Amino acid sequence: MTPTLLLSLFCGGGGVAHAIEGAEHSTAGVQLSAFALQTPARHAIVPALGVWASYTPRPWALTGELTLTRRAKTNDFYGVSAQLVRASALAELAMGTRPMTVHVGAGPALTVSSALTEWGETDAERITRADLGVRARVALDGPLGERLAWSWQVGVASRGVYNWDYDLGAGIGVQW
Amino acid sequence: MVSALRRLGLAAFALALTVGCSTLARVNGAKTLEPGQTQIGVSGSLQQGANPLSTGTIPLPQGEVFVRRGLLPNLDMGARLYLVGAGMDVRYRFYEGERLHLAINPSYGLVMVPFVGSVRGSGSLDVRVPLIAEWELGPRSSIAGGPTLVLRRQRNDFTWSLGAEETARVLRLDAYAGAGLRYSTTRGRVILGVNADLYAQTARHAGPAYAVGADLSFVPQLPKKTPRR
Repeated sequence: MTPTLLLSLFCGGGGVAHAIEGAEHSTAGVQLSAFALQTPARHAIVPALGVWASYTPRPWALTGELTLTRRAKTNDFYGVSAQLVRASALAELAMGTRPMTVHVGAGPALTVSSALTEWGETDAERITRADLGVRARVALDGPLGERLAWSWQVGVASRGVYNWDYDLGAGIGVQW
Repeated sequence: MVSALRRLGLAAFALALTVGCSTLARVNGAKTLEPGQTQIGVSGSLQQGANPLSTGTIPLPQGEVFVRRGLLPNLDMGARLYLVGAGMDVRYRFYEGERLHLAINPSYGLVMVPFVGSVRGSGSLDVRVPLIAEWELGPRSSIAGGPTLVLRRQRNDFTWSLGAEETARVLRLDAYAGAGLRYSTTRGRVILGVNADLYAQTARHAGPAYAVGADLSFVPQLPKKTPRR
């Protein structure tokens, strides 16, 4: 039973669902994001580069994301250079009354981060860790002509329990 | 009389400066305007926890004027002008049932405050993603609500003087995750709505934020189409 049918039943009296169903399509592309990365003091906002791929048999979708970001900070006492890679897989509800599709979904995320901290000229320590977490996003995507596709999304992801990152991005890709 | 108006104006300006934050009140349901249709309205609300000034003190007032325009079937666009800021949004109805409507209403907003106390220049840029479900209670009334995520980049420039004048810029991210409800009733072409929103401030654990308000808007008749010859 599809969510649209459920909604129709919920409406009562055979509600009229004007959603476009059965429009199966796939998209993949590159996305640029503003990444709000939780740090001990506050969220640091850094740019991020990602790729995504979505398989969308409406009203469902499966989306995979891979995102890379880097943060560097230097002051008189220390310098920190950190890289972060996140892979996530999301199960989504995908609906639309136009060729544009709304995705709302969640799934597991694995984040691998590596930070090099340097004190003075000789002392340095690199810490690499992997954190499991959850990822949720709300996204819009649609066609740009016959072959191209666009996407826009706002998302949140956790690293473990206490670190929550936010992101806002837009991308361009292909559809088939 | 002029003096009283001037004092009132100064008081209103001072009040506007103390707001220092974009509005948290919702004025939209999920039903989009028809292409070519326009909606014009005003809204007033009280909100608390929307900025450091109103955290733990009293609810502060916020007011706005807004306009919407139907672009395409199931897609419209709006602009809001509120105290010390403005915003734009797009609303896309992605499900239309007999009585239930679902929409996404992403928006961007900004705030510019010239000074508040030791803050010499303050501003923010935010993005909001409300998911809205609207249920028609009858032919003239409906209730709408749903979750919203607000991400806001806040900037405060401080100036203080301890012998020599010093300045500092503080940047931070505010994130509001919450939900709201709005009841609206239509009388002819006039729409009256009341709303309540409650948010947790998840990025800096500054306690809950809320807004309660009312809005009044007008939807003029659709322009008649000129028959093609």
